[in-house]
Amino acid sequence: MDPAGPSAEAINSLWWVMLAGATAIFLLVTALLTMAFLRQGDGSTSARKWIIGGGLVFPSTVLLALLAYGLIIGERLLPRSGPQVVEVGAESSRWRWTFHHQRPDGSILTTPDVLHIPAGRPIDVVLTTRDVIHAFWVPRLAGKMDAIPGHRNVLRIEAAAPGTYAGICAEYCGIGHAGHAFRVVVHDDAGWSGFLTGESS
Amino acid sequence: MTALLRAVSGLIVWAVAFSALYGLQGLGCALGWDAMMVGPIQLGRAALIALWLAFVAVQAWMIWHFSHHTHGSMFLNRLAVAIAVIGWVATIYTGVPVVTTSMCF
Amino acid sequence: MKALRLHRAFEAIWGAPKGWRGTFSSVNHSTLGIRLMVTAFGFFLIGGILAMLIRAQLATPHSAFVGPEAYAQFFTMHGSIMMFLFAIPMFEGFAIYMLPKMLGTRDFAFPRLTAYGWWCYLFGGSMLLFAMLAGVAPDAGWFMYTPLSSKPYSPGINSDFWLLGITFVEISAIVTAVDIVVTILKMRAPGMSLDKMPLFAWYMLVTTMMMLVGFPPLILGSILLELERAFGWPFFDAARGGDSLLWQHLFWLFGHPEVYIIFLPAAGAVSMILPVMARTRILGYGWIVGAVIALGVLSFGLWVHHMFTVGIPHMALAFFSAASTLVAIPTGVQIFAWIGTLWAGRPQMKMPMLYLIGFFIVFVMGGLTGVMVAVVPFDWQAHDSAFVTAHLHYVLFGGFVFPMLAAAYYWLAHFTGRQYQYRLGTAAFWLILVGFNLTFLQMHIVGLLGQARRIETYPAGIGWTAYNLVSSIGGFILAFGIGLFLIDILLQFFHAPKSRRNPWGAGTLEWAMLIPSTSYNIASIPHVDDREPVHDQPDLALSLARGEGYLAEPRNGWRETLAVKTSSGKIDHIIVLPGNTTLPVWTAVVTGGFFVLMLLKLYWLTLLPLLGLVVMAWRWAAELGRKEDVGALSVGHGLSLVTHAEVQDPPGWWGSIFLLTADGTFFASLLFGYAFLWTVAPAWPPPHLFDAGIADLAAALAGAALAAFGARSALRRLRRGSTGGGALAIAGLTIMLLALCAAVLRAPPPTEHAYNAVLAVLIAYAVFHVAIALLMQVFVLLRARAGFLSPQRSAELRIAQLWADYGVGSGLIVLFAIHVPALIA
Repeated sequence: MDPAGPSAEAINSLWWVMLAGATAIFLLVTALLTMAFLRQGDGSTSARKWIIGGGLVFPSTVLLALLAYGLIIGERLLPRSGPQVVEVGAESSRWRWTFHHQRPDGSILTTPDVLHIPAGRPIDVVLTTRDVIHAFWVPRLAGKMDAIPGHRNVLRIEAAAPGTYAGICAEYCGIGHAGHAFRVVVHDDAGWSGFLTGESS
Repeated sequence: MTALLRAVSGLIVWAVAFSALYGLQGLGCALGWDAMMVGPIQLGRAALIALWLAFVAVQAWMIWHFSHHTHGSMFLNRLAVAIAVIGWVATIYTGVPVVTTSMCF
Repeated sequence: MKALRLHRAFEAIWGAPKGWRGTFSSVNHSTLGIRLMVTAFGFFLIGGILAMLIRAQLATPHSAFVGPEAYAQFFTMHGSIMMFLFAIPMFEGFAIYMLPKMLGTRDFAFPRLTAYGWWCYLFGGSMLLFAMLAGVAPDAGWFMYTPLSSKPYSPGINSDFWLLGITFVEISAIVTAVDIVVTILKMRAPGMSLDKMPLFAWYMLVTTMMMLVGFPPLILGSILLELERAFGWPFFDAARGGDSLLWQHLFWLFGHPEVYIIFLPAAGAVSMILPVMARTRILGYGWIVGAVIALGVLSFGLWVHHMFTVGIPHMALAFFSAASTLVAIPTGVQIFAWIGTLWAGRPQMKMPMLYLIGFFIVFVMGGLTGVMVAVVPFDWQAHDSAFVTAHLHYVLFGGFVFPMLAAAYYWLAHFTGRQYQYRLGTAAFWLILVGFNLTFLQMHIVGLLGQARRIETYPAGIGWTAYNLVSSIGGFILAFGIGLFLIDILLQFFHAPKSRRNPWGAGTLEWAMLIPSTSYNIASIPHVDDREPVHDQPDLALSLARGEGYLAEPRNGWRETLAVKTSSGKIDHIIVLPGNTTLPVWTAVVTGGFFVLMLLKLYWLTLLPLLGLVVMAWRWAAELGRKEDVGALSVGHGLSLVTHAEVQDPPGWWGSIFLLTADGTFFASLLFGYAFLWTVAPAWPPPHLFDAGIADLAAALAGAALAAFGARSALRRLRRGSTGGGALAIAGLTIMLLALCAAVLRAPPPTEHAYNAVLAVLIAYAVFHVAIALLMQVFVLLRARAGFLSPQRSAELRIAQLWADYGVGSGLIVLFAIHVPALIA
């Protein structure tokens, strides 16, 4: 779905693989169903053939492969520490987002409703909430993660190229939910250092 | 009624195994067992693997037991063996993450 | 004309009085089953209208149709109504109507509970409807996540309506589940061993067991949240040691099994209809039974897949991801058993089959997207988006509504007694199928594009407009289809010609009777040697109507039916069922009084209905029983059996076992909550631990031992023909109650910390159960003195002993759970 980062990219390939598989299985079931009506049987079909073949062996194989694929990707998307990782804070509340960026001198640069990140580097978004549960979701960059009272969750995102991406709150959080959106501005190297030193914002 | 309970016991043991693994994982993370090492692996993971294999062994024994000792009707006996096999496979399958995924991350 | 004479005699015993008196006093399963189905269909239409309003709002961007407040009530009520007030009562009603007929018996094990269940459902559902009409309907989403649903963010009465109304309806679900389980296990036609039951009975057995284990966590969660809202006990408030994740665990611990609880009865209907449509027998009966049991148990290992984005470690997610993919296998077994059955038979495209085709197409797609969202990384994208909305509608509409529509056409003659006519159903089918797919197919895509759930507006120009407009048009086509279906069904009641007794040539017992069915179902009870007895004996219906089976002679005006051994189906004893009574409706009114007073925040006054319930329950039990032994009575075919009053395990004993199973799950969920908060919640350990009292603990242990011994001793003495021993049990339980009250006095104030609040609930739980056990011991003591017990009639004592053991056991566990951490520290 028009991914713009490695995380969304991996999930996107997963989606296309699953969609192809699901379509094939759906067509198979429909075909078997249609043929059952066309052939008009004589009551002598073996239960084992259908149930062991179709009900056990076939789905087990497919599901085992899919589970393994899913777990491998899942492990890859975890927020592991590394030298390149940039940590930003996302504090949600009804109905705004407050993003905290750390400057090289240790001071915090706070922006409302716009998150700034550098392109091509893994970002750990630290999610907290001041009231109810919210969820941080930038569909083109990565999956989503909830912000839960009393907990601190971390979501790994990454954008391949500079640009602006739309983000929303995915968890229903009251009457302002539909408008509880934000933007992610992705900078190139120069733009990023410029942002941190306060030259542009 | 006991024959019926016996027939479904394979899956009930799976439910116990599944809850035990999930509970031990949560407890292990809360107690910091992912940071302690036993030889090459984390203490928490070692405990989880031990628990997982113990259940796999118990359920393998259940299959053997149900297929060699009958109780009640033929139908319920066959059901007991089948459910024991399903429960055993389910424990193996749902327990695989103890060796393949990050424990507290 | 022996058949006609029997019909009149049985109708006089089993029928209900005419007019309003009959409406309030009937306990007949056919009447109540139809009432449940009609009520549920009414709620389905209301839920459908809400869906139309939602689609009207979303049809265009920046819609000004309704504001966010009203929209929040729409989607919350749409979900809540469809789940709690439509789907569950609909299949319960169907099972209540149909199961005794399929099993070859005359009514349910607990007819008064059946009636109580319907009244509770009606009153609880009406509370929610009233809230909607008054504009204060619940508005925090049908899964009521805290803290959004907690007092600070939902200060109005809206959430209270949900918590109290749904709990009221859940009471109905629990008692109905107990009713159904006991009926399936004990009240089949003689000879019907478990493997000769119609598959629908297996599906319902598994479903109702799942309800007994799956609903208690939700009831617990609702009680805890209501306690937090009403009294400030902070179970879910992170600042005071609570955790909103506890709500999510309790809710989904119920919520995921719930999906299968809804699907399985519908799948059971498919397994009954499909072989008949294919003019053959079902393929792989044993495989299907195994698959259904596997589905029932495995579905309890999926709940965290609704919580993949709450920040749980990957290994824990992987357990649930694995279980979620695994559960597709038993589903696959069923699908292929059904396709294999069609393959083996000579399928004909009658109206029920048409709807089954719709079921296959829609449900298989829902199953496939279900496997997709079971894969963790994909779910991180799809979660809480329109993709999930689409998926769940494919599963629930495909897996429940289509089979139930097929069932409506298949069993229609049972209700109307008429042949199906007109074929409007075909047009309805195409409208429903096309409308459904137009509504939901592209919703998958717009979800992946980023449309979240539960938004009431979206910007133009981001590519969502066309998808949403098509969805809305599709939704209205679907609504026309449902309307046409309703008209079609109503027309059948008036114009169609009389139907043959067994219009489809089916083989199961529900077709071996007059249609529309009579109040007593069958004039005599058959002996069954085959899964499809009507195939073996095509004239079975006539033979039963002529009284050639068991219990063919009406006796003493009793409502008699037969009980069998659970597994083998060997004939065991006679059950004499209670007749029409207004006790259920009054008990439901009193129960409703409790919930209404809670809503009005008149908390002290709720003690009145609670006291009223004790009185009602007392009468409920006191109305039954006899002061003399009746001994063995003839049931026909040269066989004589005793009545249930004179056996060790009458239905009441079995009912207690299953009710206690549900109660035990409730208790286990509470202990889970305690452990969960201790290990996961922020702000733990609590500032002050419980002030342990060794003397109380010792007194409670002594009381427990005395109670357990006393209850057993009373039973032993009764077998030897003497009364007594009950006083010991009463003394023991009283000591325990006092020890628990002492713990209440020392307990820290519940509003300070979640630990204190959990302690208070644990103690209250124990006090409640010890008090019930005590009341029951007093009851049996008085019954013994009044002559209701004898060495033969000892069941009441055995039931009281079950509850005494449970009260003592749970009391001890509670005392240990509150003392042990305090003693260690």
